[in-house]
Amino acid sequence: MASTEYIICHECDLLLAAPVLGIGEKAHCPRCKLHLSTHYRNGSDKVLAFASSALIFLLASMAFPFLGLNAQGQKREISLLESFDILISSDYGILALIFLIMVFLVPLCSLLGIVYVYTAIKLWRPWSGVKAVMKWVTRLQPWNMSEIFIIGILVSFIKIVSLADVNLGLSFWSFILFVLFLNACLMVLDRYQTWLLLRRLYSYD
Amino acid sequence: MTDEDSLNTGVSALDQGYQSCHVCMSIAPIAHNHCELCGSVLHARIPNSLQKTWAWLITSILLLIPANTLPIMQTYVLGSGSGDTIFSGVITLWQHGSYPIAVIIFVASILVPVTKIVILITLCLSIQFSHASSTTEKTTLYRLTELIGRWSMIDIFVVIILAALIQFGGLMNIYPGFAAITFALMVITTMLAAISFDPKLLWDLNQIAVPEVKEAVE
Repeated sequence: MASTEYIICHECDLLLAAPVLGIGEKAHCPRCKLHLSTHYRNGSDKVLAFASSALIFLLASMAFPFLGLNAQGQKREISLLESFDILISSDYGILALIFLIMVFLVPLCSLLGIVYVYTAIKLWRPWSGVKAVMKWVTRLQPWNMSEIFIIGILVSFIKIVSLADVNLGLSFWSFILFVLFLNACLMVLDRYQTWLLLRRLYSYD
Repeated sequence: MTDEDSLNTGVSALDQGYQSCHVCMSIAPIAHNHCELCGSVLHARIPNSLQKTWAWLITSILLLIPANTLPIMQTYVLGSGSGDTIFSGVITLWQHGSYPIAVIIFVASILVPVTKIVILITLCLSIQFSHASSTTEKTTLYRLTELIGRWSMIDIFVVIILAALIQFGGLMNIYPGFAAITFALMVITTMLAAISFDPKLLWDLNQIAVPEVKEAVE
Protein backbone atom coordinates (compact mmCIF):
# COMPACT_ATOMS: atom_id res chain seq x y z
CA MET A 1 0.00 0.00 0.00
CA ALA A 2 1.04 3.59 -0.52
CA SER A 3 3.40 4.13 2.34
CA THR A 4 5.74 6.56 3.92
CA GLU A 5 8.55 5.67 1.54
CA TYR A 6 7.69 8.47 -0.87
CA ILE A 7 6.57 12.06 -0.75
CA ILE A 8 5.24 14.26 -3.54
CA CYS A 9 6.20 17.94 -3.67
CA HIS A 10 2.89 19.76 -3.34
CA GLU A 11 3.92 22.57 -5.63
CA CYS A 12 5.65 20.87 -8.55
CA ASP A 13 4.43 17.24 -8.27
CA LEU A 14 7.93 15.76 -8.17
CA LEU A 15 8.01 12.28 -6.65
CA LEU A 16 10.69 12.12 -3.96
CA ALA A 17 12.04 9.61 -1.50
CA ALA A 18 10.52 10.51 1.86
CA PRO A 19 13.04 12.60 3.82
CA VAL A 20 14.37 10.97 6.98
CA LEU A 21 15.38 14.01 8.98
CA GLY A 22 17.74 14.19 11.92
CA ILE A 23 17.10 16.78 14.61
CA GLY A 24 17.40 20.29 13.19
CA GLU A 25 17.48 19.14 9.56
CA LYS A 26 15.29 20.57 6.82
CA ALA A 27 14.05 19.11 3.55
CA HIS A 28 13.50 21.10 0.37
CA CYS A 29 12.20 20.04 -3.03
CA PRO A 30 15.27 19.77 -5.30
CA ARG A 31 13.35 21.11 -8.31
CA CYS A 32 11.18 24.00 -7.09
CA LYS A 33 12.96 24.58 -3.74
CA LEU A 34 9.70 24.35 -1.76
CA HIS A 35 10.29 23.80 1.95
CA LEU A 36 8.88 20.34 2.68
CA SER A 37 9.64 19.69 6.30
CA THR A 38 11.82 20.59 9.28
CA HIS A 39 12.50 18.29 12.20
CA TYR A 40 12.64 20.56 15.27
CA ARG A 41 14.26 19.44 18.50
CA ASN A 42 11.42 18.55 20.92
CA GLY A 43 8.94 19.78 18.29
CA SER A 44 5.83 18.39 19.99
CA ASP A 45 6.72 19.89 23.37
CA LYS A 46 7.38 23.26 21.80
CA VAL A 47 4.13 23.24 19.81
CA LEU A 48 2.12 22.35 22.91
CA ALA A 49 3.88 24.95 25.09
CA PHE A 50 3.58 27.79 22.56
CA ALA A 51 -0.05 26.95 21.73
CA SER A 52 -1.11 26.89 25.40
CA SER A 53 0.70 30.17 26.09
CA ALA A 54 -0.90 31.81 23.05
CA LEU A 55 -4.33 30.58 24.18
CA ILE A 56 -3.90 32.03 27.67
CA PHE A 57 -2.78 35.42 26.34
CA LEU A 58 -5.64 35.48 23.81
CA LEU A 59 -8.20 34.94 26.58
CA ALA A 60 -6.45 37.50 28.80
CA SER A 61 -6.59 40.09 26.01
CA MET A 62 -10.40 39.94 26.15
CA ALA A 63 -10.58 40.85 29.81
CA PHE A 64 -8.93 44.26 30.11
CA PRO A 65 -9.10 47.66 28.35
CA PHE A 66 -7.34 47.45 24.99
CA LEU A 67 -6.78 51.09 24.09
CA GLY A 68 -7.50 54.36 25.79
CA LEU A 69 -7.85 57.81 24.25
CA ASN A 70 -7.58 61.27 25.76
CA ALA A 71 -8.80 64.03 23.48
CA GLN A 72 -10.10 67.53 24.16
CA GLY A 73 -11.00 66.68 27.73
CA GLN A 74 -12.84 63.50 26.75
CA LYS A 75 -11.62 60.14 27.93
CA ARG A 76 -12.41 56.91 26.18
CA GLU A 77 -11.39 53.37 26.85
CA ILE A 78 -12.40 50.34 24.85
CA SER A 79 -11.94 46.62 25.20
CA LEU A 80 -11.73 44.29 22.23
CA LEU A 81 -15.28 43.02 22.74
CA GLU A 82 -16.66 46.57 22.82
CA SER A 83 -15.12 47.28 19.44
CA PHE A 84 -17.33 44.55 17.91
CA ASP A 85 -20.41 46.19 19.45
CA ILE A 86 -19.46 49.55 17.98
CA LEU A 87 -19.01 48.06 14.50
CA ILE A 88 -22.26 46.12 14.63
CA SER A 89 -24.21 49.13 15.91
CA SER A 90 -22.84 51.35 13.13
CA ASP A 91 -24.34 49.06 10.46
CA TYR A 92 -21.05 47.53 9.44
CA GLY A 93 -21.89 44.03 10.58
CA ILE A 94 -19.99 42.43 7.73
CA LEU A 95 -16.77 44.20 8.76
CA ALA A 96 -17.36 43.11 12.36
CA LEU A 97 -17.80 39.55 11.11
CA ILE A 98 -14.60 39.59 9.00
CA PHE A 99 -12.72 41.09 11.96
CA LEU A 100 -14.17 38.57 14.42
CA ILE A 101 -13.40 35.57 12.19
CA MET A 102 -9.91 36.50 10.99
CA VAL A 103 -8.49 38.04 14.15
CA PHE A 104 -10.15 35.89 16.84
CA LEU A 105 -12.11 32.85 15.77
CA VAL A 106 -9.58 31.40 13.31
CA PRO A 107 -6.61 31.70 15.74
CA LEU A 108 -8.76 30.54 18.67
CA CYS A 109 -10.06 27.45 16.84
CA SER A 110 -6.58 26.67 15.44
CA LEU A 111 -5.01 26.90 18.90
CA LEU A 112 -7.69 24.76 20.57
CA GLY A 113 -7.28 22.24 17.74
CA ILE A 114 -3.48 22.21 18.01
CA VAL A 115 -3.64 21.72 21.79
CA TYR A 116 -6.09 18.82 21.33
CA VAL A 117 -4.01 17.11 18.60
CA TYR A 118 -0.71 17.52 20.40
CA THR A 119 -2.10 16.44 23.77
CA ALA A 120 -3.24 13.25 22.04
CA ILE A 121 0.24 12.82 20.55
CA LYS A 122 1.95 13.63 23.86
CA LEU A 123 -0.15 11.14 25.85
CA TRP A 124 -0.08 8.77 22.86
CA ARG A 125 -3.85 8.23 22.95
CA PRO A 126 -5.67 7.79 19.63
CA TRP A 127 -8.60 10.01 20.61
CA SER A 128 -11.51 10.39 18.23
CA GLY A 129 -11.54 13.31 15.83
CA VAL A 130 -7.84 14.10 16.13
CA LYS A 131 -7.21 13.65 12.40
CA ALA A 132 -10.28 15.68 11.43
CA VAL A 133 -9.20 18.47 13.78
CA MET A 134 -5.68 18.50 12.33
CA LYS A 135 -7.18 18.67 8.83
CA TRP A 136 -9.14 21.81 9.77
CA VAL A 137 -6.15 23.39 11.52
CA THR A 138 -4.24 23.06 8.21
CA ARG A 139 -7.11 24.48 6.16
CA LEU A 140 -7.72 27.48 8.44
CA GLN A 141 -4.15 28.79 8.33
CA PRO A 142 -4.37 31.25 5.39
CA TRP A 143 -7.27 33.04 7.15
CA ASN A 144 -5.42 33.82 10.36
CA MET A 145 -4.71 37.56 10.26
CA SER A 146 -3.90 38.42 13.86
CA GLU A 147 -0.35 39.55 13.06
CA ILE A 148 -1.70 41.88 10.36
CA PHE A 149 -4.07 43.33 12.94
CA ILE A 150 -1.02 44.28 15.07
CA ILE A 151 0.45 46.28 12.18
CA GLY A 152 -3.01 47.83 11.72
CA ILE A 153 -2.96 48.94 15.37
CA LEU A 154 0.49 50.51 14.98
CA VAL A 155 -0.56 52.40 11.85
CA SER A 156 -3.73 53.62 13.62
CA PHE A 157 -1.64 54.92 16.54
CA ILE A 158 0.46 57.07 14.31
CA LYS A 159 -2.68 58.41 12.67
CA ILE A 160 -4.32 59.23 16.01
CA VAL A 161 -1.28 60.61 17.82
CA SER A 162 -1.82 64.11 16.41
CA LEU A 163 -5.46 64.10 17.57
CA ALA A 164 -5.26 62.56 21.01
CA ASP A 165 -3.11 60.87 23.62
CA VAL A 166 -3.20 57.13 23.21
CA ASN A 167 -2.86 54.80 26.18
CA LEU A 168 -2.04 51.17 25.67
CA GLY A 169 -4.11 48.94 27.91
CA LEU A 170 -3.11 45.67 29.52
CA SER A 171 -5.04 43.78 26.83
CA PHE A 172 -2.89 45.32 24.12
CA TRP A 173 0.31 43.83 25.57
CA SER A 174 -1.44 40.55 26.16
CA PHE A 175 -2.53 40.54 22.50
CA ILE A 176 1.05 41.19 21.33
CA LEU A 177 2.26 38.19 23.38
CA PHE A 178 -0.60 36.10 21.97
CA VAL A 179 0.50 36.88 18.40
CA LEU A 180 4.16 36.17 19.20
CA PHE A 181 3.37 32.78 20.75
CA LEU A 182 0.89 31.91 17.99
CA ASN A 183 3.52 32.54 15.31
CA ALA A 184 6.18 30.65 17.26
CA CYS A 185 3.74 27.75 17.51
CA LEU A 186 2.90 27.78 13.79
CA MET A 187 6.60 27.95 12.96
CA VAL A 188 7.51 24.76 14.86
CA LEU A 189 4.29 23.01 13.84
CA ASP A 190 5.56 20.97 10.89
CA ARG A 191 2.75 19.49 8.81
CA TYR A 192 4.74 16.50 7.53
CA GLN A 193 6.18 15.57 10.94
CA THR A 194 2.76 15.92 12.58
CA TRP A 195 1.13 13.54 10.12
CA LEU A 196 4.02 11.09 10.46
CA LEU A 197 3.30 11.01 14.21
CA LEU A 198 -0.45 10.67 13.64
CA ARG A 199 0.18 7.87 11.14
CA ARG A 200 2.07 5.96 13.83
CA LEU A 201 -0.44 6.88 16.57
CA TYR A 202 -3.28 5.40 14.53
CA SER A 203 -1.00 2.50 13.51
CA TYR A 204 -1.22 2.86 9.75
CA ASP A 205 2.27 1.44 9.37
CA MET B 1 -1.49 1.81 -12.76
CA THR B 2 2.06 1.52 -11.56
CA ASP B 3 3.37 -0.82 -8.94
CA GLU B 4 4.93 0.99 -6.02
CA ASP B 5 8.21 -0.88 -6.42
CA SER B 6 8.75 0.59 -9.86
CA LEU B 7 8.25 4.24 -8.85
CA ASN B 8 10.97 6.62 -10.01
CA THR B 9 11.94 9.57 -7.89
CA GLY B 10 12.73 12.82 -9.66
CA VAL B 11 9.84 12.41 -12.09
CA SER B 12 6.31 13.83 -11.96
CA ALA B 13 4.14 11.69 -9.68
CA LEU B 14 1.05 11.99 -11.86
CA ASP B 15 2.91 10.53 -14.85
CA GLN B 16 3.49 7.48 -12.67
CA GLY B 17 -0.13 7.25 -11.58
CA TYR B 18 0.31 8.68 -8.08
CA GLN B 19 -1.08 11.69 -6.23
CA SER B 20 -0.57 13.15 -2.79
CA CYS B 21 -3.10 14.28 -0.19
CA HIS B 22 -3.39 18.09 0.01
CA VAL B 23 -3.79 17.88 3.77
CA CYS B 24 -1.49 15.19 5.16
CA MET B 25 0.92 14.69 2.20
CA SER B 26 0.37 10.89 2.09
CA ILE B 27 0.68 9.40 -1.35
CA ALA B 28 -1.97 7.27 -3.07
CA PRO B 29 -2.68 5.84 -6.55
CA ILE B 30 -4.76 8.25 -8.67
CA ALA B 31 -7.64 5.77 -8.65
CA HIS B 32 -8.21 6.50 -4.94
CA ASN B 33 -10.83 9.12 -4.11
CA HIS B 34 -10.21 9.55 -0.40
CA CYS B 35 -7.02 9.69 1.62
CA GLU B 36 -6.74 6.59 3.76
CA LEU B 37 -4.95 8.45 6.56
CA CYS B 38 -6.91 11.68 6.98
CA GLY B 39 -10.01 11.04 4.86
CA SER B 40 -9.66 14.16 2.69
CA VAL B 41 -10.86 14.13 -0.91
CA LEU B 42 -7.92 13.34 -3.18
CA HIS B 43 -7.17 14.88 -6.54
CA ALA B 44 -3.91 14.92 -8.47
CA ARG B 45 -4.65 18.50 -9.63
CA ILE B 46 -7.16 20.93 -8.16
CA PRO B 47 -10.33 20.25 -10.23
CA ASN B 48 -11.16 23.09 -12.67
CA SER B 49 -8.31 25.09 -11.17
CA LEU B 50 -8.04 27.60 -14.03
CA GLN B 51 -11.79 28.29 -14.26
CA LYS B 52 -12.03 28.85 -10.51
CA THR B 53 -8.97 31.10 -10.48
CA TRP B 54 -10.31 33.17 -13.39
CA ALA B 55 -13.72 33.49 -11.71
CA TRP B 56 -12.21 34.75 -8.43
CA LEU B 57 -9.82 37.04 -10.33
CA ILE B 58 -12.61 38.66 -12.34
CA THR B 59 -14.65 39.11 -9.15
CA SER B 60 -11.71 40.73 -7.40
CA ILE B 61 -11.05 43.08 -10.32
CA LEU B 62 -14.72 44.15 -10.25
CA LEU B 63 -14.52 44.71 -6.48
CA LEU B 64 -11.28 46.67 -6.88
CA ILE B 65 -13.14 49.44 -8.75
CA PRO B 66 -15.57 50.52 -5.98
CA ALA B 67 -12.83 49.79 -3.40
CA ASN B 68 -10.69 52.53 -4.93
CA THR B 69 -13.31 55.06 -6.04
CA LEU B 70 -15.65 55.12 -3.02
CA PRO B 71 -14.68 56.46 0.41
CA ILE B 72 -13.10 53.88 2.72
CA MET B 73 -13.48 56.10 5.79
CA GLN B 74 -15.93 58.90 6.73
CA THR B 75 -14.71 61.53 9.17
CA TYR B 76 -17.26 63.82 10.86
CA VAL B 77 -15.87 66.87 12.64
CA LEU B 78 -18.50 69.03 14.41
CA GLY B 79 -21.24 67.60 12.22
CA SER B 80 -19.64 68.16 8.83
CA GLY B 81 -18.45 65.01 7.15
CA SER B 82 -15.80 64.20 4.59
CA GLY B 83 -14.89 60.92 2.94
CA ASP B 84 -11.43 59.62 2.13
CA THR B 85 -10.72 57.12 -0.60
CA ILE B 86 -7.67 54.85 -0.25
CA PHE B 87 -5.63 57.02 -2.59
CA SER B 88 -6.68 60.39 -1.14
CA GLY B 89 -5.86 58.97 2.30
CA VAL B 90 -2.35 58.12 1.15
CA ILE B 91 -1.90 61.62 -0.32
CA THR B 92 -3.16 63.28 2.88
CA LEU B 93 -0.71 61.23 4.97
CA TRP B 94 2.12 62.17 2.63
CA GLN B 95 1.26 65.88 2.81
CA HIS B 96 1.19 65.72 6.61
CA GLY B 97 4.69 64.29 6.54
CA SER B 98 3.80 60.76 7.71
CA TYR B 99 5.95 59.28 4.95
CA PRO B 100 6.46 55.77 6.40
CA ILE B 101 2.72 55.29 7.02
CA ALA B 102 1.87 56.68 3.59
CA VAL B 103 4.27 54.17 2.05
CA ILE B 104 2.91 51.25 4.13
CA ILE B 105 -0.70 52.02 3.16
CA PHE B 106 0.22 52.59 -0.48
CA VAL B 107 2.10 49.28 -0.69
CA ALA B 108 -0.47 47.25 1.26
CA SER B 109 -3.63 48.71 -0.25
CA ILE B 110 -2.70 49.58 -3.83
CA LEU B 111 0.57 47.96 -4.89
CA VAL B 112 0.06 44.50 -3.33
CA PRO B 113 -3.50 43.80 -4.61
CA VAL B 114 -2.71 45.04 -8.12
CA THR B 115 0.60 43.11 -8.29
CA LYS B 116 -1.10 40.00 -7.00
CA ILE B 117 -3.88 40.16 -9.59
CA VAL B 118 -1.37 40.85 -12.41
CA ILE B 119 0.84 37.91 -11.36
CA LEU B 120 -2.11 35.51 -11.18
CA ILE B 121 -3.38 36.66 -14.58
CA THR B 122 0.10 36.10 -16.06
CA LEU B 123 0.30 32.61 -14.55
CA CYS B 124 -3.18 31.68 -15.77
CA LEU B 125 -2.42 32.95 -19.28
CA SER B 126 0.88 31.06 -19.44
CA ILE B 127 -0.95 27.82 -18.63
CA GLN B 128 -3.79 28.60 -21.02
CA PHE B 129 -1.36 29.22 -23.88
CA SER B 130 1.04 26.42 -22.83
CA HIS B 131 3.92 28.83 -22.36
CA ALA B 132 6.50 26.60 -20.66
CA SER B 133 9.42 28.94 -20.00
CA SER B 134 10.95 30.05 -16.66
CA THR B 135 8.79 27.79 -14.49
CA THR B 136 11.00 28.25 -11.43
CA GLU B 137 10.53 32.03 -11.58
CA LYS B 138 6.78 31.62 -12.04
CA THR B 139 6.60 29.34 -9.00
CA THR B 140 8.50 31.96 -7.00
CA LEU B 141 5.98 34.59 -8.14
CA TYR B 142 3.12 32.31 -7.08
CA ARG B 143 4.65 31.85 -3.62
CA LEU B 144 5.03 35.62 -3.39
CA THR B 145 1.30 36.14 -4.04
CA GLU B 146 0.44 33.62 -1.32
CA LEU B 147 2.82 35.31 1.10
CA ILE B 148 1.94 38.98 0.58
CA GLY B 149 -1.78 38.75 -0.23
CA ARG B 150 -3.03 38.77 3.35
CA TRP B 151 -1.13 41.94 4.22
CA SER B 152 -3.55 44.03 2.16
CA MET B 153 -5.94 43.77 5.10
CA ILE B 154 -3.88 46.33 7.07
CA ASP B 155 -5.96 49.27 5.87
CA ILE B 156 -9.23 47.52 6.75
CA PHE B 157 -8.00 46.93 10.29
CA VAL B 158 -6.89 50.58 10.54
CA VAL B 159 -10.39 51.71 9.53
CA ILE B 160 -11.98 49.28 12.01
CA ILE B 161 -9.75 50.47 14.87
CA LEU B 162 -10.28 54.16 14.09
CA ALA B 163 -14.04 53.69 13.77
CA ALA B 164 -14.14 51.91 17.11
CA LEU B 165 -11.94 54.47 18.88
CA ILE B 166 -12.88 57.85 17.43
CA GLN B 167 -16.44 58.24 18.71
CA PHE B 168 -16.52 61.57 20.51
CA GLY B 169 -20.20 62.49 20.44
CA GLY B 170 -20.66 65.46 18.13
CA LEU B 171 -17.02 66.57 18.21
CA MET B 172 -15.44 63.96 16.03
CA ASN B 173 -16.64 60.63 14.71
CA ILE B 174 -15.14 58.18 12.26
CA TYR B 175 -17.18 55.57 10.39
CA PRO B 176 -16.12 52.95 7.84
CA GLY B 177 -17.02 53.80 4.25
CA PHE B 178 -18.62 51.42 1.77
CA ALA B 179 -15.22 50.83 0.11
CA ALA B 180 -14.05 49.15 3.33
CA ILE B 181 -16.48 46.30 2.61
CA THR B 182 -15.63 45.96 -1.10
CA PHE B 183 -11.91 46.18 -0.32
CA ALA B 184 -12.15 43.45 2.34
CA LEU B 185 -14.09 41.25 -0.09
CA MET B 186 -11.49 41.99 -2.78
CA VAL B 187 -8.70 40.74 -0.48
CA ILE B 188 -10.72 37.60 0.29
CA THR B 189 -11.44 36.88 -3.39
CA THR B 190 -7.78 37.35 -4.41
CA MET B 191 -6.82 34.94 -1.62
CA LEU B 192 -9.39 32.45 -2.93
CA ALA B 193 -7.96 32.94 -6.44
CA ALA B 194 -4.46 32.10 -5.15
CA ILE B 195 -5.77 29.06 -3.26
CA SER B 196 -7.69 27.80 -6.33
CA PHE B 197 -4.60 28.10 -8.51
CA ASP B 198 -2.64 24.85 -8.81
CA PRO B 199 1.11 25.53 -9.31
CA LYS B 200 1.57 21.92 -10.44
CA LEU B 201 -0.08 22.96 -13.72
CA LEU B 202 2.94 25.20 -14.39
CA TRP B 203 5.28 22.22 -14.06
CA ASP B 204 3.02 20.01 -16.17
CA LEU B 205 3.82 22.25 -19.15
CA ASN B 206 7.45 21.14 -18.97
CA GLN B 207 6.58 17.50 -19.37
CA ILE B 208 5.57 15.61 -22.43
CA ALA B 209 1.85 15.26 -21.92
CA VAL B 210 0.76 11.65 -21.89
CA PRO B 211 -2.80 11.49 -23.26
CA GLU B 212 -4.22 8.98 -20.74
CA VAL B 213 -2.73 10.95 -17.84
CA LYS B 214 -4.37 14.13 -19.12
CA GLU B 215 -7.68 12.30 -19.30
CA ALA B 216 -7.30 11.19 -15.69
CA VAL B 217 -6.88 14.80 -14.60
CA GLU B 218 -9.90 16.05 -16.51
